[in-house]
Amino acid sequence: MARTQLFLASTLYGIATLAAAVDAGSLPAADRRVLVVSNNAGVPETHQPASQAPGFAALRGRFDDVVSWNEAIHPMHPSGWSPRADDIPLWERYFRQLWLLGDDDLELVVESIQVPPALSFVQVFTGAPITVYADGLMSYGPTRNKIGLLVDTRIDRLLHLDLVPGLTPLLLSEHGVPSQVVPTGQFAKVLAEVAEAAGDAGGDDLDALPEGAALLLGQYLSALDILTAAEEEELHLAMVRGAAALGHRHIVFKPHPTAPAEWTAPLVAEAERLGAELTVLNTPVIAEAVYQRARPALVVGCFSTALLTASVLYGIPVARTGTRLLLERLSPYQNSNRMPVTLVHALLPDVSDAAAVRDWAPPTAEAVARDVEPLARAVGFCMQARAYPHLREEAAAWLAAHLNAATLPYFKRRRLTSLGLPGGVPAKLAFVPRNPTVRRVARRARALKKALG
Amino acid sequence: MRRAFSSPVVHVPFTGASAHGKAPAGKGPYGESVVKLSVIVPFFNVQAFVPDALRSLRANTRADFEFLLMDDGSTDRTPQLLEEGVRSLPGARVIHRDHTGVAALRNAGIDAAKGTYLTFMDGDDWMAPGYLPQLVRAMEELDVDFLRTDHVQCTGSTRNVIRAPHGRRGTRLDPRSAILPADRPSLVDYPYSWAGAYHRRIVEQGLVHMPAHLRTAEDRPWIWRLHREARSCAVVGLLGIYYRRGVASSLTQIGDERQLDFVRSFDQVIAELAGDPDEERFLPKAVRTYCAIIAHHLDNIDRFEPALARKLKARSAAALGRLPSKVLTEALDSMDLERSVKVRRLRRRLSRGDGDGPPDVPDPRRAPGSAPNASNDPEAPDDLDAPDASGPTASGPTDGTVVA
Repeated sequence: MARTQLFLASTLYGIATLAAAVDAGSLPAADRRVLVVSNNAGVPETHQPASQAPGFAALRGRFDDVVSWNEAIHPMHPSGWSPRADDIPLWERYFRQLWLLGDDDLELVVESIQVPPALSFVQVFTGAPITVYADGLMSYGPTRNKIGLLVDTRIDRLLHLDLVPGLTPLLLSEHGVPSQVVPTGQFAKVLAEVAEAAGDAGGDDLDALPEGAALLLGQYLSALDILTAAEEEELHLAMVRGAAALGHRHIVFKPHPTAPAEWTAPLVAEAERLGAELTVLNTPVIAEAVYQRARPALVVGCFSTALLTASVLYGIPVARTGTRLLLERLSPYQNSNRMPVTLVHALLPDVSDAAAVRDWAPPTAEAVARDVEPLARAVGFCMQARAYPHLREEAAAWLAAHLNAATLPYFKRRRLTSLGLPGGVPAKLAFVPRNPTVRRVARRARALKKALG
Repeated sequence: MRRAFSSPVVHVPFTGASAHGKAPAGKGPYGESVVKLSVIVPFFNVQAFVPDALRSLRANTRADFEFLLMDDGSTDRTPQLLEEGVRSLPGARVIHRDHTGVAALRNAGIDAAKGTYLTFMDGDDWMAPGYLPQLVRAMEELDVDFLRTDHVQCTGSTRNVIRAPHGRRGTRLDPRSAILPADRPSLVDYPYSWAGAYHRRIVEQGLVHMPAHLRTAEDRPWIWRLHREARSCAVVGLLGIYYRRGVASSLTQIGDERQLDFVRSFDQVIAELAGDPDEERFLPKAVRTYCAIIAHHLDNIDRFEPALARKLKARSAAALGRLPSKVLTEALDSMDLERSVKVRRLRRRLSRGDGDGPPDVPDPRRAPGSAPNASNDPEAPDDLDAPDASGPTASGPTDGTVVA
């Protein structure tokens, strides 16, 4: 029987990862490969899907067909739609007819399996084996939600990029899913093709950028209510100041694709004040295409995965800013961005510390395994303690030995206390959160405080 | 023909590029260019949503379409965003006005519009790529005075398909007969101006203009008049309008004095029925809807400050007193018990002569701030097509039609 692989992707970066996996033979052979593109923008009707992003043409050839998930489930939103359990046979019939899948044996390759659209997608095709591929740094974090036994028992592997050599992903490890690296060289080759194809994509000319500039990667965290607009502007200003203090006279700012355009004026002014020239790069291409074509001398960002690709794939010096604030702000503690922020904070130098940026070298795999992996596992345990009970002892031991002023920001006292871990409220008071009388009094006190405003 | 319009919008891939110029610009007998469709888009302090709104219009341009971007004296960045956006939206112009409220703003747009057909979109909503050409095709092929269409309601990434409450699609209907029956939702309970299109000939009769003195529920007298006086209408199943629900600035979210205008609004509906040849048949419908709206407000009374809540009760009670007693009794008898009880209580209060009486003692069983969620409310406009809607399910206040 014919074997068909269905790939669900929402970003060009994700499709490039898939292309590299196909090229490298990381996936089983298939008779037909269908790329299912999901546009997860808040308002997909007004935003380009990844299949129309500049550079996609270079990837198109890996797939026999490209179809749209949004069109298939119109007018529902990919993040909002999931099939009713009893309707699943109808949906499977519908999708098989729509995409001419016949009775083919299916194999599913998806990202972010914990939530729709990926979760809905795999639920529709009952019984098909699943490969999960990781979107950036989140693969090193724990699985956010329960996926359900009908899904988690049929995951064959986790494909991920080796963005932090020496670190093993936590994602899906609780289900015994083995992780497998998509070869870095293969991924770099695919990105080079994307950069080449993106050349005539419209937007600003990448080749006209000054050679050896500092490239600043803009964030749009205020849209997610993680930062205020003022804090976000301050974060971007800190990037400009740091780059200027490092002696950069040419600064290129790549705004977050969905951020409003008018936010860049204060940055231009600040750069000018510091004697540097800031160019705003308005282009829809991915950051990696800019690395490839414009060869910046420094990349500064907050916690973008693109910081790690700059370092690992292109050997470009990198620096971070704002991660300390984000460690504090991310809420709840299990927020999936926590692991990316944790890793960037732990691995990269702060842009305001010029000496640290100059002296920085990517940590070796041995150093990562020794210093970063235990931290990541302790944070991961604190994020999803129930899913990873086997990590408790390890986390407790690490915290007992390493919790200090430098590492405390990665954790929250309240969380350490509720998990009964070192660093929480002392053990002799540990009964407090569990004692019903104490809780009742605390609840009353809180209610009273609220009532008094 | 019916089939063409009963299917959902064919999803035209978003290209980012404008389709401008694909349709030849029509020329009038004197060589002037003829505008086929005018799209009136009111904006008031909706800066966060302007980019999406304009991008969606950009994916709907045609050489014979015009876009009137109406700014209602916004005090945020809306005016600048419109000025920036208009440059890349062919056929668009911005009209800045002092703040007047959405009804007067729409009227100004109607007066400025040149199109053979008119339609509306709110500045915090958006449309599917290629929706407007489909809307125009439906108008051309059905040749009706006005068109009603279904829409998609969006609350974050949760979406609901909201149907115009009439089963027949893609065929000419008599707008007057679509007002009834009284005891079920009908097209007058679907008052969203942006869910439809309007022919120039009824614009000229003044049927598309809105009562500008009302600050909310202005679409009630509007839809009633439209259905009473226009000659033909049709319903189509296009799912091209995306209505953003749960927006903080939306008028329905706040217990504002403006909300009380629903009384003036329904008084106008009732007053305008006088002399209508079908007055006797229509009155029960209007009265029932009125009662349903009053019940809706009573259900959600906790969102009002106490003083305003008293005012709401007093005005509602007085309104009930003005209604023809027999029709009112019949309407209440036909409503479900839970809702009618509340309205009856008000009515009795009036008969005791304390319609403007002493302040109410707040109901101790209901803590402040625990207002029932409007979305669970049988009167909420969102539940128009609830499968078992047996009541009149008249819409609550003009959720969605007001950008406030």
